[in-house]
Amino acid sequence: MGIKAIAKAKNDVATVKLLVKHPMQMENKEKNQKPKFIEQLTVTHGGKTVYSMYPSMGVSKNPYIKFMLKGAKSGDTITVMWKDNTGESETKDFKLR
Amino acid sequence: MERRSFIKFGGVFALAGTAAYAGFLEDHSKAFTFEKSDKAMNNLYGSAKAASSDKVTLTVPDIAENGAAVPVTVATDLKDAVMMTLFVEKNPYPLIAAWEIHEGTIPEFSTRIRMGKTSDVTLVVKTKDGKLHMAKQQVKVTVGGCGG
Repeated sequence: MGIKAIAKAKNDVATVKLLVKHPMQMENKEKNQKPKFIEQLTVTHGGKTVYSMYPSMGVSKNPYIKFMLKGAKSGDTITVMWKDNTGESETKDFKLR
Repeated sequence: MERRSFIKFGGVFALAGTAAYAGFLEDHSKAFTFEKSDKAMNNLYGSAKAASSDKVTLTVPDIAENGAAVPVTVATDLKDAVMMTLFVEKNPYPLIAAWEIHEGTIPEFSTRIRMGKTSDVTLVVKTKDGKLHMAKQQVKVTVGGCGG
């Protein structure tokens, strides 16, 4: 597990690119393989939720996510949080460049 | 404040609190388990039907060489958009992802998705008035990504 981010602010708009290390494992009834996937990914900025995504097994392994945020400037902190369907979760702060 | 109205007040706050966090999964996690997109749509939006809109933009490749990671960008110019949902009609579970749209965030999101075979991909955007707007495009898949 692990979250990588490239987050840059320019002209009041921040572009955030995230790469989350996660298997996003599909269900496979033949192999008796249980699904394990991120079911919620949230990003907050200044105490406000700015991004809420609810992925499924249909999202690729090691999810890549990109979005743009208005009213953010260089030096601001964003907090990325995900949790998966097995209860595992991770939270990490990133500073906007 | 009278006790009765205080209780009422508290109740409203408690409801608002749950709606703001994890509310979507509480109400709609089942939508991800349906094997037909119309059933998932019904779980998410009830009987509302989506109409094609040029203000909904779905950017996908015409041909995906690798179904395990198909780049997708979902976007809308609709001012009052509150939610976006993405479907791959022929995947085992068609509902791929949902996004809540927050004030201050540009409603243009990119990610990578799995596609088992050639299929229509549909993006549905819900606006504040409850109306549904959509865009659809076919993606040809040469090597499927759902073989697991």
